[in-house]
Amino acid sequence: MSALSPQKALSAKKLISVRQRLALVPATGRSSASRTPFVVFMVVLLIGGVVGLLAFNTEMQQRSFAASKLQREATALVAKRQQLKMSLQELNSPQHLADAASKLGMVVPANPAFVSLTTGKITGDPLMTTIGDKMHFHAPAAAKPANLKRKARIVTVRPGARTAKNNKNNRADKANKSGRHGAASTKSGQRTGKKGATHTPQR
Amino acid sequence: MHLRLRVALLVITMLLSLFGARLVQLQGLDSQAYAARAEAAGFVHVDLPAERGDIVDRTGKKLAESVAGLMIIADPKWTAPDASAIARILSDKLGLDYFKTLKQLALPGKRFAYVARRIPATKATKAVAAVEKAGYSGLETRNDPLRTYPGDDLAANLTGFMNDDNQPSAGLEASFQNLLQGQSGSETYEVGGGNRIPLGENSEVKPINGKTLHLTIDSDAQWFAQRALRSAVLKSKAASGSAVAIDRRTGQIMALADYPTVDANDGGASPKRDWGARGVSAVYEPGSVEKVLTMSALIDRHKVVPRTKLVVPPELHVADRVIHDYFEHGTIHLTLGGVIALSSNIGTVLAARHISSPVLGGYLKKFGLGAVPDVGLPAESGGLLSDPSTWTELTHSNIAFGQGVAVTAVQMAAAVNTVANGGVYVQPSLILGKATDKDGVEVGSDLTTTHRVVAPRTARLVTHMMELVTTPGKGTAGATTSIPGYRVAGKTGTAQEPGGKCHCYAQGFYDVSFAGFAPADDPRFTVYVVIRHPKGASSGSGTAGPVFRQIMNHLLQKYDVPPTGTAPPNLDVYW
Repeated sequence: MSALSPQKALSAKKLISVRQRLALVPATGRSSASRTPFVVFMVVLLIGGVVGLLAFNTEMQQRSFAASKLQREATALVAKRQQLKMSLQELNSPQHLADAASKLGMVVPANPAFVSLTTGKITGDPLMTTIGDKMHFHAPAAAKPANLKRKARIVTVRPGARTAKNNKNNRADKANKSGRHGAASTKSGQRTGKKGATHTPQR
Repeated sequence: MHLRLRVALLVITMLLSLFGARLVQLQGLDSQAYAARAEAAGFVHVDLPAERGDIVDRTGKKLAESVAGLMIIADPKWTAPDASAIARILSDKLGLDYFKTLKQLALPGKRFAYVARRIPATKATKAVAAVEKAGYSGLETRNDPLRTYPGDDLAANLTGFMNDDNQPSAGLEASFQNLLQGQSGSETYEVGGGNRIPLGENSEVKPINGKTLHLTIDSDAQWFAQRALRSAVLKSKAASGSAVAIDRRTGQIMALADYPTVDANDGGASPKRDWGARGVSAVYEPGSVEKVLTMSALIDRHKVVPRTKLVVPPELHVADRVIHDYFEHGTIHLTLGGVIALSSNIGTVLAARHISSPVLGGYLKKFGLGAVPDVGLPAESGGLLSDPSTWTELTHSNIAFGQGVAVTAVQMAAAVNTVANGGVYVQPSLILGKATDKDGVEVGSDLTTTHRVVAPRTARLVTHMMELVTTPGKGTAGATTSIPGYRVAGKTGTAQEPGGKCHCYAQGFYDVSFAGFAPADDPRFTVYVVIRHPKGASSGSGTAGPVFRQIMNHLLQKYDVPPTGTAPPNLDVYW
């Protein structure tokens, strides 16, 4: 910039002077009126593009939501089908069939015998099933640990020994004999009494 | 003017160098970390697990199947603020660990976290719905196949089961892992606001599902055998038991029951020793059932016939030992048929003196003893059969009646089935068709091999002798194993097993067994039952026999096998 030579500056001045000598070109037909359609077109294009893009994006988003929703629905239906299939299998299992048959009073046959439907002839010895043929379809429940078993305490209550007075007498009598046993039996006696009172008052 | 230009140039240069340096830093130095961060912000990577192949029985009934399980995944960006409330709902509904769930829901800086895996689909969708209903979002479900065993303990000794880490723990699940597991795929995609961005970046590798494994098992017969066996084992307070049912013609195993066994849906709850199939892995002395094989060898060599007369002394001295019969007797006159009918050890030893050890050993080998049948289960044993050239007189005598040789239940069933099948050994199979196990060995019913062991006449004569066993009033097991109307051939077995501190027979246990087939003159099925270490009075006929009869009954009935209507041969026990 600082390196611009005086000659070059001079020629620039010359150029300007030459231009000054040129005649004005008459205005062409490019009036503001003729530019309007183009501008309008551009604006419409712009707005249309923006709106279109927006609409497209919105639509895609909507589709995405719909896809997610349908996916969830499909998953739920698949799950339901699976659940139904599993319960069908459960109902179909040999164990269930055997239990259902037992409930209807059916038993495992003692030995096979066949009836020919054409001749009515029986092959094999149809025998009655006995208790010896009984099969256990369920594993026996695990034995209860001894320390969880409730100890049965059997109390014989003599007729007429129900009243509070008698109870008191009993307690006194038994306490004299053996303290612990007496106390326990009274406790049980009271419980039996209560039960009788709530369930079978006439007893 | 000049000054302003210079300053501007300087500022622009500084800015550009700054940008350049930053560019180098981003692309050159920290690119991995930034890429990872970008991914965490908007990309999701999920495994698409392959569906594990089913295990089905011979009719296509499912013994093990993969159902539409779901995994619940969270977008912690959305779940973190309400993590405790969501975790409470999930732990209530699904029994998840509250604190673990809480941690996953609030993973800082992540857009993806596993909350729960392999939840039955209905349960998972209900739980997620409950969370959404409570007004929280950010949870999603994805496919995650789940293994279930519709029959619980049905054939669980064979199928094995998948453990909590979804790894096969035992049985066919383990030995056919490669076939069943398939190949999992994966998917990566962009998300925004919890929804997948349409037209976003996305790549998917589809999973290849596992193949179905078909078994020769009939699930009804299997269930029935398991129940019959369980009743007997519990009743006799035995340690364990196995029962095998084989289709005589094809060698296909229709039922292979073991007790104690495992509930495949809760395998970890049972001790490890109950996981597998004892029928192919537990080895024991066959006892008297083995006499069937000895007699076959003797008759096949034309040394004896069922009517051969033997004088059986009360006891027999062999080397330094004395051989007894299980019943006290004086000197009795038994036919060879009588020896089998009453299961006389002494009679068998006397008869077995007619053939040499290599001959007897050769026959036993052809009956399948000492070789792994290879049905496709893990830990299969071939039992023990020592080299016949090393047998002493005592070994020869002992092996003749089933001591000093060890077998598995499947081996013994296949050996007895040879007699049922007219003298032709059929290799037992458990896989229907064929399949390649994890060691690359192809097994299955399509590859079954057969070979002749004894002549058809031999098989017929031995069958006649075995019919005596189940004939009421003649044999050892008439009352408990005969099926009225049918001709049944069978043999009882009682073998001693050393035990206790001395590891001697005196403190040991018994293994009682029964092998047989029916109808005797045209056998359809061979059934073998062994009950190990029963307590109290027990015998092959009284303990194992009823189980044999129940299973045989069931099979004859289910497969419509009518009685043949022929009369059994009239053989005498005594002469």
